[in-house]
Amino acid sequence: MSEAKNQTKTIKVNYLARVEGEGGLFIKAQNGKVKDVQLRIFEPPRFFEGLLVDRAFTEAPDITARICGICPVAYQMSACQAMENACGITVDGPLRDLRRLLYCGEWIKSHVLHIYMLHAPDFLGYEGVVQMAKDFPQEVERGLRLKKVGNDLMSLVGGRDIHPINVCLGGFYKTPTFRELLEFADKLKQAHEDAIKTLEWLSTFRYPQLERGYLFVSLCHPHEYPIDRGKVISSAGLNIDVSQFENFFFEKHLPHSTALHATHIDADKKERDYLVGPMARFNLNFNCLTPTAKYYAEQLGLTPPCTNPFKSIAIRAIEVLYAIEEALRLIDSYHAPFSSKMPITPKANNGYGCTEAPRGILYHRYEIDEQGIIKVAKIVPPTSQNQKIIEEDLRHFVERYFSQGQAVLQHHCEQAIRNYDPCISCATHFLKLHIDEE
Amino acid sequence: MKSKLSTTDAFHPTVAIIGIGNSYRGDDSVGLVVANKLTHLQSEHIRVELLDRDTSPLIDIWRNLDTVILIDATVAIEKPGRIRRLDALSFSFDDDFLSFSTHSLGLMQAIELSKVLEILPSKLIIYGIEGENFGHTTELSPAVISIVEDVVATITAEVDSLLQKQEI
Repeated sequence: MSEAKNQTKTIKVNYLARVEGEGGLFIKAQNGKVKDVQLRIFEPPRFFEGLLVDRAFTEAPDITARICGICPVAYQMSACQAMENACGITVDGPLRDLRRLLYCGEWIKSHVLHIYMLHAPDFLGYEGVVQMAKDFPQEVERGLRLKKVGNDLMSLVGGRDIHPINVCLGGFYKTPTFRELLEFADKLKQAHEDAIKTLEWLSTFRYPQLERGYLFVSLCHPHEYPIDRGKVISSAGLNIDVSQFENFFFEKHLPHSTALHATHIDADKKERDYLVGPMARFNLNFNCLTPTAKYYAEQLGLTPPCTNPFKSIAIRAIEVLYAIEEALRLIDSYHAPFSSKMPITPKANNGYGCTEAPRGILYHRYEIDEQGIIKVAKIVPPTSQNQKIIEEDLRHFVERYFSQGQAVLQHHCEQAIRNYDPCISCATHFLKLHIDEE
Repeated sequence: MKSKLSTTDAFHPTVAIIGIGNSYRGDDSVGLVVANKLTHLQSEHIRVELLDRDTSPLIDIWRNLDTVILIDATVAIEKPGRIRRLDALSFSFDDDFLSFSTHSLGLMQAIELSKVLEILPSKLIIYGIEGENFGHTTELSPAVISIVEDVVATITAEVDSLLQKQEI
């Protein structure tokens, strides 16, 4: 592409596909320098927060689970945690273990699907997984096997793998038997081998160079890799209870997107973009990984701080290995609860919940009245928190490909966006690319 | 609508009948309606599945099966209620149709990926029923309702014939 003086180049990708929602990409460059990047999410607002108002507090987990087909457990868990917080109960013991086990299933399913079906083809130069499967059939079969273990774990604990229906406030409608869990452990042991082979495979990939100075934000628990609870921490020293989230993180509406942009207000009252998701969790909680997960991370050259977003695919694979080992630990230590759920009585109160969806922290806040009727609902999903980071990655990354033609540029933009497995969305394959030059 | 058999059932079917669609989008649910009417055929050798909005289990269902009959709605082209019987192994889909969503593995992607991995059933028949209304409703349009029993009868006869050939 020419870089003639005062030349302005506008790249518009009208539709992002491999998506449930709708989004596009707009890049404006002048004289070979990026002037503006906008990830345009124009999926019609789904009004879930409004939909929840005047509904019963018990309905929040199932209603919010419908927001996303790939991470319904995250929505259920954040909703449960917030409602239970409002009502003054904490689900602990075997019921909490089962929730964490269910969440492990979702992490495995979501991460494996993204690694094998969506992102690996980018690194190996294929249009998609179907084309990649011609040369890597064993690897794709391995991905399908691993994904199925995640799906099956969600079915076992959650009742079904898509939009699980077994979760309720206080616990579950029905708990699995110890025998069912024990039988499932055999599948997890096989999956453990596949997870390690996945990491060995990813160690052969060539990762584009991009190092950025991110502000990482994730949950943090004193003894556990964060999945279902913890404080909100950042790489800049933030350490707050979930109930303080809205004092430090704000959402704002930008004209080019119907998804809200989240931003962090730091101690100096400055707005900062921040990154949530696997790379943030990994960097802020490395010490809580299992020894095996740490070992393979180090074998891959992954030690905190990892600041190359393209390595997020490998970090996802580390988290898959962790989730499998954590699931085995939870099953091994499981004792059937006395009851499938704790009693819960509504209180007029605010409740706060935050858990680690596969793509990053998912915050819920509800205000309910004494009858348990929802008066206010607020949901901050990971993609709105990462949206600005994605734009900034592209701003720093795409210039080097301006001279290599439309197809190459398009491919690299897609790959960079897929680093975040955005859930507008979910993944990106651009149907239409227009380059307008003045 | 729920799946009648889980993927973990200890059956060894040779034939699967799979209805796919969205039960909240009008005529898109016709595959589910037809398959639901065929659940009485379930046996040691026949598996019936209803995949409501989620086609991602397709590969796991048809792996190692001899024959699969899929029922799905198709877009309105000529005449609502028109039935097309397609041999899915006789054609390929363009790459444009093969992009993946994190949320689901679509029918075309599942077929093409299974072809590459050589795990397709030896016979894969798709009954496509042309729809008229894909709006937010749980009702089928009259033209589509009128052909449901015909499709049920046709598939029943085809399954009978298949099993006779397999001497089951």
